[in-house]
Amino acid sequence: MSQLASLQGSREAAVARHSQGAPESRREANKYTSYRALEGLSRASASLICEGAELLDLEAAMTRDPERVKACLGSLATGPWADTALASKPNLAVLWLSPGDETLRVSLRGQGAGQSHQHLLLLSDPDCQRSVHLELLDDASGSHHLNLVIEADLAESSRLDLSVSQAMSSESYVTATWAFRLAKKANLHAVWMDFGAALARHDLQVDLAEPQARAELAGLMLPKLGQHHDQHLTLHHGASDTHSQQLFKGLVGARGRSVFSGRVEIKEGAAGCSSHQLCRGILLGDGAEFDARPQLLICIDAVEASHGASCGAMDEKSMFFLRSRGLDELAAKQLLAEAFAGEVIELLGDPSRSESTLQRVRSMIQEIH
Amino acid sequence: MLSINNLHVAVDDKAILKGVDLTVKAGEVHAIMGPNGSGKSTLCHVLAGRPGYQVTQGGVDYQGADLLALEPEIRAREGLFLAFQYPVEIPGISNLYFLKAAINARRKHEGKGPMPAVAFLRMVREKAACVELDEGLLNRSLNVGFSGGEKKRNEIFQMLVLEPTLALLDETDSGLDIDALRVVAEGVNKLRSEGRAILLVTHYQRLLDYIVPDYVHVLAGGRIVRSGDKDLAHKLEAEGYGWIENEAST
Ligand SMILES: Nc1ncnc2c1ncn2[C@@H]1O[C@H](COP(=O)(O)OP(=O)(O)OP(=O)(O)O)[C@@H](O)[C@H]1O
Ligand SMILES: [Mg+2]
Repeated sequence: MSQLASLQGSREAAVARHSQGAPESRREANKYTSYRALEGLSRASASLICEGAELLDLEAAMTRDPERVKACLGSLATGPWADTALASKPNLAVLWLSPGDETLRVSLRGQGAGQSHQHLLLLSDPDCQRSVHLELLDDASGSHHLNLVIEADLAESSRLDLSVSQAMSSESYVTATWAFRLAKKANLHAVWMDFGAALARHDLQVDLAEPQARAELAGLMLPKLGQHHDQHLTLHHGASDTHSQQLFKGLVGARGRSVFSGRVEIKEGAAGCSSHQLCRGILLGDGAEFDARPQLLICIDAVEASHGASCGAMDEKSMFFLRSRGLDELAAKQLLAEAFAGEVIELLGDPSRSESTLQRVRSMIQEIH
Repeated sequence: MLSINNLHVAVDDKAILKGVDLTVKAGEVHAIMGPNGSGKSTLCHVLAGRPGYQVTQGGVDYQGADLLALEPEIRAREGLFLAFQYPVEIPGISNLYFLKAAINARRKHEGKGPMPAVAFLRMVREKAACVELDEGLLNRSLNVGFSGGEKKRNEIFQMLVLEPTLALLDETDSGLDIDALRVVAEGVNKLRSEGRAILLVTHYQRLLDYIVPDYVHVLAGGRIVRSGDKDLAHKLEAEGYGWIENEAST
């Protein structure tokens, strides 16, 4: 138990940072996001279920590899919501990935009104390849704020395929901090999809810490009617021959708002690396908003880096083309929305999940038509 | 089948069509020629229902209906087809997926159920062969990465699949090599029948050697300034448009 006590240090640091105050919209990283609705919520719980693998508690994880757990726990994720969670005695679970073909299905469901804090540690052993699907939900019985910290440490030559689907009810909130550290030749392939919640904010922190690590990251946001979806990425290329691709898209209904901020830092010593970022928004009605903030910080020469952003209404020429072949306005819009979202959806690499996601896209278009 | 009466059309308050009169009967093929910027594509777009054009005078009757009052998709389901001068590229929508949606929309309009998958595939293969369209293109995203000629072939292929009653072909021959021109023309000729009509816009007499028109019209300055038979196209090919403009001004 003395080992557990030594973890106290990182928690205390978080408490100290947390006591500086709750995240405010004044801070640059939160420029577009207001957390006012989240103030003064009482503590509630959330259920965490994992199908296909056993979730370990801290003690069991420490028995397995204390040094590794200590090195990761509370030290990968940063930021105000992570601090808040770590300082609030969150539920802690460890998912130690083992190789397998079957996708692990994790669901985190907020229960009742109030605020819950969850801390999930994800560890993979060298060469391990695994797919994980994670659902963020609530039981729709009041306004729930799910605050989640995920810290993932991917060992050498391991690969994680992660898909996240957030489908909270429209009165609920989610703030999630996702921190990944990739060792040599590790591979992260991750897709975040936001369908629900009044406010969803993801802080994605990816550290390509060792040579030849690779990340392929994508996001799809479908906010409408006062919903706010916000995906904030900070990506470090910290070693040579690291590669990343980022594709983030927002399909924004009337009075919906979607934010993508993508900060890529290519450090000295990251020779031979490449980073490509693309974000695109389609605005589907009055008051729809898509804010894109690409940021590229390069400290060395001779890297291959690009970024692009675009945003606009649905393409008028394409709409007319489809209608002139007999598709009605709704069907044409649905088809174009499907095509737009499809680029992200195909990265899921899972036909049934792709189909259900396309179905969500179609019904969103139908709803706002 | 189609009767265009004193049609005036403006874009952003700029008058483009200034009194077009044209009657097309079932079974006929009409060719429209004319200088760049004279309004040929505008006419096609207005007939197909593209938003953004103001009809300031006149009207269009199509099979007894007020064509301009119909939504573009209703026009299509009622048998009108426009082969675009510049077919759009739509990433993420496969040719076949889109065509299936188009054909089923039409069938629904006719009170029929969706076309069975097997029959659809058979029909599509057959029509693709008609215009020698590479089957590999069928599963690719709509027109994305297609060569100029492949896009035009794809338009004619879609036309054959949808079997329109009135086909408008806007410069389908432009950008085609000699063999492709023949193939596309054969495709169009397959569609020719008693019950259908074709209006084709072209700059080149050559196409009219393959698809022999019943009438040739010259659209200039937003009006049809001359009509004749296929010999008119030969004269235009040899002499250009100058003589018509001179005659018009005297
Ligand atoms: N959306 C638009 N906005 C402004 N002007 C337009 C628009 N569409 C067409 N025009 C103008 O209308 C005129 C007719 O254009 P149109 O495309 O119909 O010509 P066209 O006869 O098809 O020419 P081409 O032989 O080059 O294809 C041109 O002067 C063009 O610039
Ligand atoms: Mg034209």
